[in-house]
Amino acid sequence: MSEIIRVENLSKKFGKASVLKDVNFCVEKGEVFGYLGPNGAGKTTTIRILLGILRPTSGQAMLFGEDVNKDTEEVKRKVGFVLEDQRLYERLSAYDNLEYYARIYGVPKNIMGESIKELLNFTGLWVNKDKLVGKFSKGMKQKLSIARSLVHDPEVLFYDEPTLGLDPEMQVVIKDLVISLVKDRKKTIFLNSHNLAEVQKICSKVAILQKGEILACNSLKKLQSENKKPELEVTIGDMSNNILNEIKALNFVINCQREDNKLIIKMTNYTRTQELLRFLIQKNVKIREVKEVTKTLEDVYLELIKEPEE
Amino acid sequence: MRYRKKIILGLVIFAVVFIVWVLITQSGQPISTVFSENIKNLSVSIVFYAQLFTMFAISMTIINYAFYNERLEKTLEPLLCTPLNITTIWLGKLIAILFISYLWSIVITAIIVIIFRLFLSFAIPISAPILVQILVVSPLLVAASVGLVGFTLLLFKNDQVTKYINIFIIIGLTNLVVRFLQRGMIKPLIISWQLVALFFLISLILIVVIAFCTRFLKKERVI
Repeated sequence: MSEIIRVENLSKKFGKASVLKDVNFCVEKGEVFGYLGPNGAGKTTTIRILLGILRPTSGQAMLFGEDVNKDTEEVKRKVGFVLEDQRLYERLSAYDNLEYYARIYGVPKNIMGESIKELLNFTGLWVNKDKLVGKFSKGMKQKLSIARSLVHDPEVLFYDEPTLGLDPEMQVVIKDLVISLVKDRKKTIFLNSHNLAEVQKICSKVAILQKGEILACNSLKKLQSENKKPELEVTIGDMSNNILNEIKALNFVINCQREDNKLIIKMTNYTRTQELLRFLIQKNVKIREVKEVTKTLEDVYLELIKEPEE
Repeated sequence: MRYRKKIILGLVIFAVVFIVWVLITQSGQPISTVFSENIKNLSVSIVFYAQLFTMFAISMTIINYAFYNERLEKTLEPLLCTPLNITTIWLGKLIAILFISYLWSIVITAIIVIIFRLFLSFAIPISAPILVQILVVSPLLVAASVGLVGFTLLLFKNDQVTKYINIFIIIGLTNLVVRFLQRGMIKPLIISWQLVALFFLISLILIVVIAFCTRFLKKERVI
């Protein structure tokens, strides 16, 4: 896979405030890169630097092997974007908005009409093609801004919080649109978000940013396994509360919680699993099922975000 | 609705200024015993200033939409992410504004000429320098002012600062025009080839200098 985005020691200051501190990551062709972080973490600043709107204070951001500071036309033509708040022309129709950008990007006239029609169909906006964008709902505007990002058939897409402020139904629609962009159109996507479920469903690689620093950057699977703390879910028969206290007292158990007929046991490490099970058998606890707890992205994210604050 | 009110107000102000301006240009003239001589001078002045003022009025009314509102409504940022550079964006807006205002100014000039022809049975004696001034040099002068105002609107985020700078620019340019037209103000309007050439040169230099300056505008500053 070839590298599309490379960011090296990227820092950005606004006055004395440091918004990005030595950020490093790379995104390869065909990847869907989730850029996660709380509000004010520096996600939008990173996108703005990559889109050539802001200049980094230090470090380098490369797109297709070219420094984004060079602002080259060729690179810009390979990039599509959805910025926060859609930023469409409200006094123009949906069709005119797309046509305006198609002309800017120099889409050939003979394919422009067909391509706009195809995009409006793809986003389900064809029936509203002549309606003024000012009369669109937020969800429709977001769909149109996705269509706008595709008008010149770019290779890489930068999406900044594409589902922010949308109702759950529209969030699913937008999420499905993004998924089809990856599956059917083979686009590389840089997705800024703090919607963890969305990132978990769409992204293949994730970076977690906090206060301008990357806390973790890896494939979703690796991130989940690397940050997995030994945790077992044991389905049991009857058990007295005394035994629960005894489990908690074991020196390799950090915490033990009972949820109906399940025990959620956090341990210092997995090597002590057998020891734990032996202990339960000795106490005549009927063990029906034992499984390792798989961490969701949300668990990983919350743990990483919490730690530096503690 | 709010925008329409602003446009109407702007056009009314410019119409009043235009009428006052034409009256001033004619006020210094001795009451001629020959009626047709007065009509001739007045008609040339009206055509000349009507075209200039229409262009100024329309340009200054839509310039805020093209530059300031685009930033206010955050539609400028997506444009800056496209292959367009700031100079191209500035030039594109300038050409669009000029095209609209030029079209209107020509329509209004034509209406005035027709009115004189139909109702006063009088053909306005437009000399060659005035014709060149109307068709080429005045639009260029307006382009220079629009370009300058557009540049300041891109340069400064503070609307108030921009407004004051624009007022200074417009007053400065108007003074410049007044000084050059001094002779025309106290006597019937005289536009010589030298004056046309001077206007042309000043406008051209201004446009080139501003276009050059836009190359140094940083996107970070513009958004």
